[in-house]
Amino acid sequence: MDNNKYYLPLLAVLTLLALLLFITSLMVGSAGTGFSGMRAMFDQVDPEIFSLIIREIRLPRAILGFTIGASLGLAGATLQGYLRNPLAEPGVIGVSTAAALGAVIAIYTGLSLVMPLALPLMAIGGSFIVIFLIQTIAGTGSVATLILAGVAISSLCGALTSLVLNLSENPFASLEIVFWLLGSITDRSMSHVWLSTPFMIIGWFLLAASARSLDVLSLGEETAVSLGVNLSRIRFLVISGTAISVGACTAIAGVIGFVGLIVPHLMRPLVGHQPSRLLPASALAGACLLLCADIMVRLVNIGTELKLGVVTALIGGPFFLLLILRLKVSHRA
Amino acid sequence: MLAAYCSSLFLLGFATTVLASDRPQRIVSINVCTDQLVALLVERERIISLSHLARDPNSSWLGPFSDGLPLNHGTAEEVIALRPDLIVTAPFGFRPTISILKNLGYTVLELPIAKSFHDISENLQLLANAVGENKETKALIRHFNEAVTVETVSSDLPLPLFVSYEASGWTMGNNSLPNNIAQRAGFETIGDRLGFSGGRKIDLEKLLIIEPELIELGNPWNDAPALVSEAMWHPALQELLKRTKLINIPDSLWLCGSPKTLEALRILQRARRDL
Repeated sequence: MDNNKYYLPLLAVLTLLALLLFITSLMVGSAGTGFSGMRAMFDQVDPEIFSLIIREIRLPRAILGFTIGASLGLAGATLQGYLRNPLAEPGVIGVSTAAALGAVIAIYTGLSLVMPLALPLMAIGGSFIVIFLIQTIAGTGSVATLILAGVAISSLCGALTSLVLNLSENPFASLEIVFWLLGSITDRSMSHVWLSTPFMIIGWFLLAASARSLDVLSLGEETAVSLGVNLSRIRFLVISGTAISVGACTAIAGVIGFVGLIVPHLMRPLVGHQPSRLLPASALAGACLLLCADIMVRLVNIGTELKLGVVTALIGGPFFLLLILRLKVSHRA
Repeated sequence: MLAAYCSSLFLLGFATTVLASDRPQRIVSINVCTDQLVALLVERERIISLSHLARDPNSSWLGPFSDGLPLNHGTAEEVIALRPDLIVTAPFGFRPTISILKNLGYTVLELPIAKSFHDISENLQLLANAVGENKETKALIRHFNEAVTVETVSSDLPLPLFVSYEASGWTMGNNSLPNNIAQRAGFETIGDRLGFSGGRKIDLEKLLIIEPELIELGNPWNDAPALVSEAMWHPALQELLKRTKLINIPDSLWLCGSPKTLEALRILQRARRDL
């Protein structure tokens, strides 16, 4: 397939799809779904309540679905390119769990009540430390080393998160473990959007700036250096970009796994392996996937709301296994 | 129906009432709800220990009653070390602990979760039978039963809607103590409106479109912050509060069913009159 010819149309289709899903997201919810549901809701309630539901409940949710999905897709694609490891993903290598730990500390110690900015900053700090650690321990090792280091760090951070929540005197804190470990964007408000989106956008710029160098890096580290790539610059861009964007997402939505893993793999057959082309496509596809998952969460009526991470794991878990199976086959060949 | 109920209660009482001589003397409660009933019906000398939540003002109204009493965390080891001859608990407890205690031959009284005033009255009687009744406890139970029957429902339709909503989204539907109390006070409940029983998470937009006339938001937990505390500040919830009357019922009054739960009913009845 001629990837070049289809690249721009593909981006256009993805953008359109994301826009469509964004609008759909505004039209789905427990108060009324679809055209008829929205109509009934409009007739039933006071117009002020109607606009409140759209403006203050569904709009932040749709915005966050888009920005968080884009951040996770982009971070996944960048990490896979930078670590040259097909299984790299913020959730798998422990970056998201570490961000959750930072956020949990900020909230349950009361720090974020005094200073709201502490929430994204602590989460970003958490993911920064872990991604730095991972890169130092396993950056140049095999696929397995990276995943093992990730498993160890995620379980450690997960355990510490549970510990902080269990230590809280608030009985609801232990119920909230589920939110932090499975993720959700239900009933988040515009203030969460303002608190997180600027950081995510900074992260996107940093990650985007690494794209060209990642192209060269895919030829191997030595070749890249000989071609004039500054390794410490890209390291800085990738680490800080991932930490900032993933940290900001997780601070307000908890850990949402697998988006960063699936999306680049879905996009590669369509756009090729070149990171500079994979990155924009993955960001858009990530946004589509998360918006889609969040719409599904609301449509599946099981009495109580499904967590976002459950849906992404239901799709991502089997996908991950399939990927490992394929890696095994290609190793044998 | 009522007669059958009374006679079964009588038979139950007859079968399990203990003689004064072999009344349990070392009573341990390992649940915050049973703590309260034990404190009401048992002389302090016979109470060896209460649960650690007995001293938590958010969950229990016992207050200084537990001062000087050792508090337990409901694990089998510490309960056994207290050498109890009666362990009182509710079915919230950690099941393996209760089965270990039973297997070791301890007498464990499990009082069901009270979902109505009728359940509270039954629990009081079950506990009284197990620990032995005296004049005071008989009077206490009689007073409670009288108070409960006196409270009547005002039934002018349509009833205003009352919702008790934790900002994290948790609310109780039918077949729960809060909804039963609200129905008695003359409210339509969220369980009636949406047709569900037990606890459930309801998102904010659902809450906004059912437009409750009276709302109770639970404890904001600002001293031990969590997502719940933050959710209170959601602009949509704040907007709803401008249109809806807000009351506060301390959790300790109706988290567990006890004679104190009557106070929750009175708060709601007053709010109903003031609407």
